[in-house]
Amino acid sequence: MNLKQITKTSEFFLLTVILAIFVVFCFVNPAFFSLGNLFDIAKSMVETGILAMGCLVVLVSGGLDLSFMAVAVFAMHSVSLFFGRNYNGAPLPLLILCAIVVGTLVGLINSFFIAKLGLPSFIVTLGTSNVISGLCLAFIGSKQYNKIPASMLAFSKWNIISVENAAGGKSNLHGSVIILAAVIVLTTFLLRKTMLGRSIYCVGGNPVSAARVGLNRTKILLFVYCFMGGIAGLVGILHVSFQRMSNPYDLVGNELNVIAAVVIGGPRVGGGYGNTAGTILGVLLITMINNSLVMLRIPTFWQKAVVGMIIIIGTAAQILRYRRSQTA
Amino acid sequence: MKRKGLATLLAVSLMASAILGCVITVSADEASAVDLSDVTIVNIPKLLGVAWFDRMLPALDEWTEANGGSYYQSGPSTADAALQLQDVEDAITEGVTAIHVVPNSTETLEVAFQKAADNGIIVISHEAPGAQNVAYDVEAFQNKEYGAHFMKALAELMGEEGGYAIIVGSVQAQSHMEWADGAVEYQKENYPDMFLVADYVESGEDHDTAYNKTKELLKTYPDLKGIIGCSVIDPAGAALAIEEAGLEDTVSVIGTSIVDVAGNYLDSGAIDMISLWDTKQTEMAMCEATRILLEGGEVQTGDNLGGIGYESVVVDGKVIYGTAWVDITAENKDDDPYITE
Repeated sequence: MNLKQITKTSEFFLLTVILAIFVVFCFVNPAFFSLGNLFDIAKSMVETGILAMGCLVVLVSGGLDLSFMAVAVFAMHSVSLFFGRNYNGAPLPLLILCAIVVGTLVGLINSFFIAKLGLPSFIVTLGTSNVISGLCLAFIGSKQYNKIPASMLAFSKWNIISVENAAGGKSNLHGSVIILAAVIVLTTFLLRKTMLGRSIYCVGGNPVSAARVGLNRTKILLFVYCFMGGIAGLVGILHVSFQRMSNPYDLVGNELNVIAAVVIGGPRVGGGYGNTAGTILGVLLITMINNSLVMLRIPTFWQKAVVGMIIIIGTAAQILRYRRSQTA
Repeated sequence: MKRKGLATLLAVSLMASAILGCVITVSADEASAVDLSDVTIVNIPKLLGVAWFDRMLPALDEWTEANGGSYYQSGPSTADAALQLQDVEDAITEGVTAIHVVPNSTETLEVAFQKAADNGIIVISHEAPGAQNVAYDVEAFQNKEYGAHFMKALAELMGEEGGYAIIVGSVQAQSHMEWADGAVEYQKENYPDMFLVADYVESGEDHDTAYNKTKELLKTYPDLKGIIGCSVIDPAGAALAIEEAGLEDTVSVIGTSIVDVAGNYLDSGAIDMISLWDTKQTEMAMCEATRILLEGGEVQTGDNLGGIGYESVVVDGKVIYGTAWVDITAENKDDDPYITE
């Protein structure tokens, strides 16, 4: 792809929109351009960004998952409580592995209904979301838990860059951005370079042709929802570490923030379309807006309205441009 | 087969509880002037699962034990006004005797309160002194004074000079706004070298949001030297941001919280002081106010409503004020009634 082709992609356009917003923000408050703020945005992108990768895969397959926050909370709370009480010295990789396994197993339940029984993903995951949240509160625990494993606390303080800032404090770049990068690379590889990844596009874009060429839709969707579950489990552990406590009432309710980020990044609900570059730009846009309202000195009463307006303007610009390119 | 067995079991247990209920009725009749055994109280906090509001349940346990009647708790899983309205509506449909509620947004619930009153249901609120359609609103203290109390503590920590910010759970949370206004008013009267850096910041009672907004405050206002957090997670979220930035000694954090949430930060010095009131005592006062209303009376200034800090209440219109706040620092952490672990 040469430079001219790149400038015509929707990702490039989205990047331009983001840069334009960024420049405006910097004019309003120069502190927005500080290293500390860029580090903070990077850290704030970690949870949304990783979840968005899972969501992207689901959207590409032609489905929609509304249960991932509930799955993340379930994995987070069960693993934190179990290890916090029984084996406080558990190393982080073990905790992450356990959470991914728990998440994948819950994803398997979604898979069963969606892939095997062919029920609509929207309805199934809406249902499982409530069931999982309920079970988590009833059987795992309904209270905030502070005595999380020591390795999680240590992880929360793992900064790969730490510099003095003007206010005499420290600006830190948290190590979790490496995990975000790894998940992006993995998802990109999966979607672009593997047979499985290409099959997901095929099943999502044109199920009839996919069946004709002999793709096993059931197996592919089985993978898709398990992947989302595993991703959610991973995010659960990161969330506990960031907050230094496990609160079973966190996360659930913020699903649409992630889905909006993915949709802004390009995929159309219906499947077969989308890529990781667009998605991560969508996440960047949403994160940047959500973490700037105090910095922009926007009165508290106006903040929600401003978020909504920027999202509408950002998406409208992109969609109008897409339509023009289709008719031209 | 199995299902039939289950049904039988249910039926038997229902009958058993009905019989037990009768037994309790008899003993309760003797104890109290009015029959309180049919009383059903529903407690609707801002959100479920936080120690702060769970602490209301022991008061209901004790009160129903002593007076008869029963209670249950319902509420939203996030501090959401619309979801909470649903819980109030459900309680009205169930035909409970009394609704004890801590509103997320008083305005959203007013119509439902009126509907409850029309159905003969006693509504007693907490943290909503402006509520119009309730029988009484019970407050641990006068909100303005609580805010002034925070400002005195913060001014001492800040050396009576510099910028400060206030985090509220929601700008619709009337009590939080009154504490904040009370604090600002007291500062303007007494500490001319202090100033509020920005509009009140909203946390949505979410730890992550309080954390992120504090980070934004620190970046935007380098002269920030103090933070007051109004909702129970606000000081902890703010303290996490301050600890990560290494500013424990530069920026003072105080606010409403409990040791289970803020204890680690009291130890590390990121939080300097938290204040709280015992919701068990408040719930006890709400129950006693309910009893007085059921007996046909009304609450008057000087009445003893049972709870500690409510021995001699002040009644102003529909609002009942106690004198019940507790300050907690790293030294007296064990005085917190909410410690569970």
